[in-house]
Amino acid sequence: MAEGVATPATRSTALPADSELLTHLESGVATIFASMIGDCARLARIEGGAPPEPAEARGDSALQPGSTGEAPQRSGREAVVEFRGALDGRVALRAGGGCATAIARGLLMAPEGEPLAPEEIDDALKECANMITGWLKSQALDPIGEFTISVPFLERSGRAALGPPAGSLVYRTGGGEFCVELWRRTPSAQAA
Amino acid sequence: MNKVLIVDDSATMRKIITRVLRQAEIPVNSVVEAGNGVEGLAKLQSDPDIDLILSDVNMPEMNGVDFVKAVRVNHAKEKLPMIMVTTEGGEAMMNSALDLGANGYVTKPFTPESIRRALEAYLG
Repeated sequence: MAEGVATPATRSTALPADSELLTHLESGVATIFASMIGDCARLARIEGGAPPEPAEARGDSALQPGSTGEAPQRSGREAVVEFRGALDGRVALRAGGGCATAIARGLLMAPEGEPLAPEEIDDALKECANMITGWLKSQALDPIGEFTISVPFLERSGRAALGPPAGSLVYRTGGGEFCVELWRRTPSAQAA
Repeated sequence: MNKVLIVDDSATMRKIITRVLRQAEIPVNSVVEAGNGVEGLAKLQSDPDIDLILSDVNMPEMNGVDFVKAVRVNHAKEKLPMIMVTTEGGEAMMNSALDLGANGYVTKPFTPESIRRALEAYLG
């Protein structure tokens, strides 16, 4: 589907598996980039963990096409949206500076010469994370019950406490690579 | 179309929608912006020339569904069309917005074509 209307599936009570959620995220990223941002190529899909970290010295320009499946540097930007309902979790969109700028340029339809403020880049990354999580909600979560999603925010420091993600997707687009990661807490894990 | 009010807590999304309106060649004389439903109501009160509203749903302060409800107290559906722009494709939320007086909705991600289709009936 290239644009617009997401059609929720029939309601069911079974919680979706991580791989199913990751597949929905993947289709969301593809649709959102095709409609509003520009081309992106998936480099890796990692179930049950995070992509390997790149070497310390690497920046966006060193993340070469076809290289990798590695996560963009931790020094990049990370926009997060949380979801709550029959299962709780979060979706994070992480990108190095050059890639985040490219995503913002695509979303804002801003030509190369147009300067973008850091706040605009942050805001665009948050909006992108918001659309990806909204897609997940309408396609995978709404069919199993009532869910809410948070207003998107920038992750500053709380990431370490979360442990490894349930799955990760790594992409390459203009300006570098970005990573979409999924965390979930099952109802039993929340009770414990 | 004289004046469009865009209500969204993301300044970037307001900018995107403004640019998409231009790219879709929708004739709009000017755009007024608000960051949430409360600000949107204030803009409506101070600017009687607004003749269409594009509103996000998931916003702080006053969300889009409550905003529709508040707008419809003083502005009839036929006189002031409201189109919801949202990431949430859930039927329940869409139905509440439509029941409360929204005229239609566009789901993000959108394209100039999908925005144009949603506004076509109100272009005059």
